[in-house]
Amino acid sequence: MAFLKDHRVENLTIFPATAFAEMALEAGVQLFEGRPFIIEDFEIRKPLILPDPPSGLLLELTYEPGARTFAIQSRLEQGVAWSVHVVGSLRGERTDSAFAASAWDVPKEDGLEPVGLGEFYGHMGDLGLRYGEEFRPIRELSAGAGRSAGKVSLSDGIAHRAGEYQLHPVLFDGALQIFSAGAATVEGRKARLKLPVRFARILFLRSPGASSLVRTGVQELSDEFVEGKLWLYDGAGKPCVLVDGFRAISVAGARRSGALGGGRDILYHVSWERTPASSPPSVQEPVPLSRLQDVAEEALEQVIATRGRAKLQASMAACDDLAAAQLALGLREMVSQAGSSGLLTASSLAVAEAMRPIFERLLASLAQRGLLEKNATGYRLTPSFHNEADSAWETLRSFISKHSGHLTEGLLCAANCSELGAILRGEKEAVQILFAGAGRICWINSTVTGYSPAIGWRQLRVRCRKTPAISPRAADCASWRLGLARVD
Amino acid sequence: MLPLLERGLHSYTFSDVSAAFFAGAMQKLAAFPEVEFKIFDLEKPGAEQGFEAGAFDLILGTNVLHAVSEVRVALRHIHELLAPGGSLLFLDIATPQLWTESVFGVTSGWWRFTDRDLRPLHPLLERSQWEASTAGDGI
Repeated sequence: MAFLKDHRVENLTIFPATAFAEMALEAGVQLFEGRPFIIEDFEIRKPLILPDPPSGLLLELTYEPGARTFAIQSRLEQGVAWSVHVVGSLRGERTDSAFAASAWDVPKEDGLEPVGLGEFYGHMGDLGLRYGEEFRPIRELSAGAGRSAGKVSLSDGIAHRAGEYQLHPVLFDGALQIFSAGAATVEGRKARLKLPVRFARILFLRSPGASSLVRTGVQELSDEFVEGKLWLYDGAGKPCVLVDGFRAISVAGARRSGALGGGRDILYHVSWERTPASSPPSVQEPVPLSRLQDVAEEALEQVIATRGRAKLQASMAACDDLAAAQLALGLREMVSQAGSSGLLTASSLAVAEAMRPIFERLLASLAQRGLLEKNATGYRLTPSFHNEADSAWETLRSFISKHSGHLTEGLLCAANCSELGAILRGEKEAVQILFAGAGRICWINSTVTGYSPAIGWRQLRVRCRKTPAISPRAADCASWRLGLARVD
Repeated sequence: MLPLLERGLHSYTFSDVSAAFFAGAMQKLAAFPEVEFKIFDLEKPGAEQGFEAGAFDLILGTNVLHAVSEVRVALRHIHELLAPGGSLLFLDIATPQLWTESVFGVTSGWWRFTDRDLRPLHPLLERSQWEASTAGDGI
């Protein structure tokens, strides 16, 4: 990406917003396998000022499939801290949008006047945007009344690599430059340099290649920011990319010499450090406990109302039903391994001393459900016990299907109960079983509903994957990420 | 919580009993470079672990306070870290379910509690028990 050297703001080489956008577009093309998709709420939180020479810098895009959000972060090869530059989200899009059905056209009523390219780039340089040759892709340009249109093409030096990009950063930057030309026709003479901070929505249909026809329009304008829309078509006039809610804000860090300040400084970020307070902190009155209780109660009621009390209760009851079935399956395996006559006792099943309290509690709970009968020496299995054990995997399947929001609970339970004997005999630590996830792991969000029923749940065993390491505390389970591993 | 705090005005320390989850948390909280990550074992006084007494206005915890051998001792350690008038807000499961016990109940950590006068059968406490535990130490 040698062309980056030509993206300069004042005396700094800045990683272009359009290069961040290209990263997200590449991720979207891979994620949606070439189908149309939308990037939403693309926000530049912090610009990336490239080191000189620009090497030793790692850039990473991470995507959370559940929330459908992504973040782009960087760190120096020698450093340890990641710095987040961009956040946003990605989602698929139907192809029958109005834009997808449109063709290149510049309405005559727009009344655009030709703009000289030398004059335009001179004006941008005056503002502080000193583009090098590679970053001057505008070939034709006209503007008027907040609108603009033109053609952008990559230079011969980089055009041959256009196929490696979904939307080449230089090409996209050129489209933003065309937008700037339109904005300049309605901005005041003292307008300051504006830099991109946000794309509310980028609809991506296809790559335009090495050149693009561009039409733009300003939607909102103030001293502080400008917001607008861009339509990008390929050379044949086919729709490629629609940008809605592109926002650039005034900056004070780089501005025309002599211009007044007042914009936000996004070129530099303030670092700060804690220093001991020079005066003792004022003592606050404690909030009365009753007030905290009221607030907590209110919050709880809001959560319950949002989720639905009956639905929550049904899910909790289903969790216990699932646990009973899975425990029955696990215990039956223990009985079989021990060659026991069917009378369950801690001794006959070789339950470790430390595990006996929970063993007794679990058996007492199963007895309450009629799965076991307690007598003077231990617990006997009932016909219901066998029914529950036989249907344990079907119960899991049904639980996940009916209570998909509680998938985690179902899988954790199945994971433990599949190794119940080893856990209760003290041969394995439950936490390790919950975290043992090596091998072929498919992330739940994308795959749990994708398993073919033909595979059958009996072939599945549940594993949990730790992120990133084992913790001895059961309470840490909130941080666990789960996966399904198919056991052949 | 973090997005609701005014940037540059507050400090925020993410703690856990080990550094095991720090890498994941750092990734998740990468947008908040001001967050500090420090190991804190509730079973020991904060001062012994590099924490300044009375330095925290707000301490948050989710399903963690019960996972100690002595709840009242852990609460005292937290109290020492709170600034005068500061608050402790925590969530904890109060009632054991068969599901809870089949998952967490079979971990050895679940049974680490030794304050059997307070928790004779299992490590979870009802709200009234938590309140009684905190009131005794003037928290």
